[in-house]
Amino acid sequence: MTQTKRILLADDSQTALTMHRMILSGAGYEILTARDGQEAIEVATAHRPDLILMDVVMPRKTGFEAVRALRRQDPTKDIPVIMVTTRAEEKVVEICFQCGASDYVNKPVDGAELLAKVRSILGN
Amino acid sequence: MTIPPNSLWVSEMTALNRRLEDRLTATDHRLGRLAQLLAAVTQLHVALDEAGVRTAIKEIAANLLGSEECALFRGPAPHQLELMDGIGVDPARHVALAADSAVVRQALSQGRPTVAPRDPVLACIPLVRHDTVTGALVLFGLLPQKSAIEPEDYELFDLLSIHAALALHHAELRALGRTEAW
Repeated sequence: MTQTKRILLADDSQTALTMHRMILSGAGYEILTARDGQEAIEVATAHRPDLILMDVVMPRKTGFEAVRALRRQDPTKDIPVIMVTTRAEEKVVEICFQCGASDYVNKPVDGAELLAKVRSILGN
Repeated sequence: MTIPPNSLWVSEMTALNRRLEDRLTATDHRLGRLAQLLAAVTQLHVALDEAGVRTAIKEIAANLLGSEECALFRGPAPHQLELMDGIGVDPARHVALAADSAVVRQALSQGRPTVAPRDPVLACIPLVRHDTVTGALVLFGLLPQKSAIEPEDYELFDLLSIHAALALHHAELRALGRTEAW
């Protein structure tokens, strides 16, 4: 029996969290949440999700800082991360990949694009 | 049953797979839009006070509509608009732009969301309760990766028009410490 994949959603916007949770849980994924970068590190370390969807601008630690921290510790260094950005400029995309992200999506997030990227990492 | 030649069968199956993938993508897209609408109405109505409702409206504008230059106003008419909140707003400039805008004037007089790409105001979503305009969400700009308001955004505009007005009204009543039947 295939184990349900778990996705950690890290975003300080409750609206974004609600929407992304609806899309991804509707597609059969188990959802964990975090409201800032520091909490994202703590939840990821404790629960080892299969994928992290990480907002960039968050309190306590930004998404970039959180990903760099996750990449430095053994339990979480290999968890794939999709960054959620409000800016699509080349420089921002470059920073996403430099800090260790696997992919990115731009806000406003399109459900089809999000699911396609999640499935490409986790499988159907 | 006649079995068609292999190459014909393969090309038919390939075409069928492509159609199914297109349908899956369209379904995922529609799921995303429905999730947006449900998330928006949920966040508006779980907010306990006016500050919470304003936060929900700003989050909807930024995360679901793709606007980080917008203002929330109270008031029924362009020259009676009172700035309540906003993202990326310069009060002196944006209040004047809204007051002088044909888009805002039309939206408030008709009680319907109005969009005009070449006006300094990109879109105006009147907040309407019991057929009375009580305020407006005015969008002045979109994130760089979103080139224009899309037809599907109108569903969210219509939702905001009713539910943002209602949520603000309920927050006001809670602050006054009484309830009213809707």
